[in-house]
Amino acid sequence: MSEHEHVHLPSPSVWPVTLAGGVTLVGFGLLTSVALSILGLVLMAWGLFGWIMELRHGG
Amino acid sequence: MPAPAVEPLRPTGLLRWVTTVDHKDIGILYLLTSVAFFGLGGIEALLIRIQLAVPRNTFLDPGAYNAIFTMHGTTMIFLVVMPILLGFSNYIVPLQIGARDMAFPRLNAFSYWLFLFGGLVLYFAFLNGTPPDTGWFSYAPLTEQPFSLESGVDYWAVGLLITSAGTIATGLNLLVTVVTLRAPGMSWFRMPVFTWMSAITGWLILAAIPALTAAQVMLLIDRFLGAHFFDASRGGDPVLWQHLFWYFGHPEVYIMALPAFGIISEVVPVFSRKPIFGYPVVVGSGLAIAFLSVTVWAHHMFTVGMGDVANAAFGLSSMTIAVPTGIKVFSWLATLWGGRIHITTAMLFALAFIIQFAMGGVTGVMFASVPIDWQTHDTYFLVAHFHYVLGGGSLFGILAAAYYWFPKMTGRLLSEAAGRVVFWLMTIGFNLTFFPMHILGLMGMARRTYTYPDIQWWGPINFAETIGAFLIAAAVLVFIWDIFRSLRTGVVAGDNPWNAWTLEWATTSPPPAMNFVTLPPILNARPLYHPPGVAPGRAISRAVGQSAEMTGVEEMVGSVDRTRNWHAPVVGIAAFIFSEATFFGALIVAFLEYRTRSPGPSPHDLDVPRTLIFSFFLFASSGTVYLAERRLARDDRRGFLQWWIASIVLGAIFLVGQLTEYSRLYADNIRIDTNLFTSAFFTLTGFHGFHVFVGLIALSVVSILAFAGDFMGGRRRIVVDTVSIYWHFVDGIWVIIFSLVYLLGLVS
Repeated sequence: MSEHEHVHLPSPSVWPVTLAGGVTLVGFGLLTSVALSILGLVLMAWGLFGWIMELRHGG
Repeated sequence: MPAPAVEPLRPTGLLRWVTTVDHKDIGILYLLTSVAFFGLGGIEALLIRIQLAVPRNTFLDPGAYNAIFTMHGTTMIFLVVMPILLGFSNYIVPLQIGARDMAFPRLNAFSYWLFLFGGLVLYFAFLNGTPPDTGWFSYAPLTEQPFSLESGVDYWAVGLLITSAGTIATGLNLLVTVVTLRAPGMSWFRMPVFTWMSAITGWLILAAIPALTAAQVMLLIDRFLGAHFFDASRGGDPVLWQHLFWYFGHPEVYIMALPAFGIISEVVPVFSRKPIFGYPVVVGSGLAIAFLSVTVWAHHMFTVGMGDVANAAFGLSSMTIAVPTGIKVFSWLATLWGGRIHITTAMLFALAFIIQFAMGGVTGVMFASVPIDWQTHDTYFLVAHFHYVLGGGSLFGILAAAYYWFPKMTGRLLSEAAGRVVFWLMTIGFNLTFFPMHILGLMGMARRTYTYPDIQWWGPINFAETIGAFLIAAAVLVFIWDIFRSLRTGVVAGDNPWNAWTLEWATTSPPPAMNFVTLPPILNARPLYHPPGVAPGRAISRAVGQSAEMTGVEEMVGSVDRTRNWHAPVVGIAAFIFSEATFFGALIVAFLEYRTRSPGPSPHDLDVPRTLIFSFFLFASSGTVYLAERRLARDDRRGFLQWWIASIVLGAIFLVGQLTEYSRLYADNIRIDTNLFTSAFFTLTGFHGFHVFVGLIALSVVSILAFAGDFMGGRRRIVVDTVSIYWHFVDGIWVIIFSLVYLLGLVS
């Protein structure tokens, strides 16, 4: 394969674990305290925002 | 091999593992996490066996026993066997097809974290003092209030919902990877059987798991919002739970078996020095098993009393599935026949797999016979059957894979000497534990029961089984010790220690971040095969840099292999929609069963003309999305944004219509907990509304990005296409829901 000069691999990213943490907190909050669910929603929004911005900048 | 040209900057230590999106890292994370959960599930198994070692034992009280066997089953299925196999698929499939990574590397990481976090939520129930105790199948009405007042069932449902979301995403990722990321020349029928089985498993995950998700959502709505889906005392149908659960549960067996079939189909040929016998038939039988597996679920329910016709139909379909499964067993045997057999540890586990899985299969066919099932369903005969399938089958397949691929993943071989110890401890322990269960079952020993009376032979046989369980534990300890030992001092493996012929062996062990520096030409299903006498490295080195040859291969297969050119996001959204169809299908089934089942509010209480008007806004939004896309194709940013924002407004009007409809119904005291119709109505339409809401967020994000200048000149058009397809799906499914919920009420 001659293309290996411009192989592009995605960089490591904190956003998948952030979004997954948010989703989990939303569910866990339903079982414990709604405050955790709200925190989960905030984390989800943050994770999604970071993920999209990373994609935009050619991640 | 020259250094890779581009290596992205990678953090080190813990941060590296938290932020990784490399399929090999994620595969290893899946494997390590599953092994940790295997430790928990294994300890639970030992507790069960200690309790059952002697008659009338009091080691565990009935409540604790219920919790332990529930968590053992749930753990082994959702947190061990399935994710271990997904871990192997994650690591190996991109390598086997000559790809750099999975189709969606970040989604892959996201899936893993959901799996881990869901498992932690499930196990938090222990810390909370309320472990789930209603069986891994969580049959209603036991799971309903007031029979399960504590939160164990909630932890079970929420933990698995989170884990399942990750599993569905991984199934999608695997499928899209295989469809779109195959290297030049890697046509469908040159793919290794393990890759085939992983892709089929990906499809099956999408077809099956959303049914469980829907059932768990309904269960939670029952428990939190007072609905009555499975609440028999208010007319709900506990048998519906069983149908939905097993619609997921039986394909789940094959989700845990097909990748193991794939592993055996790699290991047996390599250590017989022959290609697999009947490759197209092996692949075809895998497809047949997957399709048939969604038609057999009710054979888990012969004792429910479904009637002769249903029993006969499901008995017949269940027997049919033995045919493609038998074909696989015979093709492994025919591969062995006349081969130069190398008895490595991986091969030993594969051979034991064939025998033990066949035994589990044979008792499976016995259970397909309704009268036999009636007599043995709630006995240890069934426990023996499914442990031969999932333990003697899947677990032995996993161990074969561990010995086969460990050198690829780590660069070092596991000890063959220690491997013999692990194999014999495991095989003797496994059969000592589970074979006598056949006998105990036929003698009438009931499963799911914390103790048993002192009937002749029951005590000694159970005691022997407990010894077997501890032999399995000893095998696991030796295996884990050998992993740690081999990582430090194991024999260095080299690229291809087994002289295997699939592509994962064409790169270093472990592979570089980019997987391959060069790929050999892929002209058949065994690209690394070299006849005896030819030096192993020659076939590869001859091909390095021969891009002209690669182009030739591409031209040769290009005409029959168009799927490689499909766009991953489009295939991904199509796969997602397929899984959504299962989810909505389950909710629709519940609605159709319940729409007129109980007295009180019914479809006649709905304001059809009003909802029809609001529906037109939603349907119109599909048209405006289409118009927006046409403007985008002409690079008309203004026009695109106008039509796109019009779609958002139309979708929002629909949502406002739905919310005001709900508030009017609530004002008339028609609430989600009023009767079966209202439970099903609010759940089905509510989840559709939620999808519209998610779609509106996606549409809004696209419009913000478009304002910022994205998507012009064809850049990342695929994002717009993908969101459009999702939006059309949300509109399209509303046609079905509106017809069944509102229009059907007018004519009936």
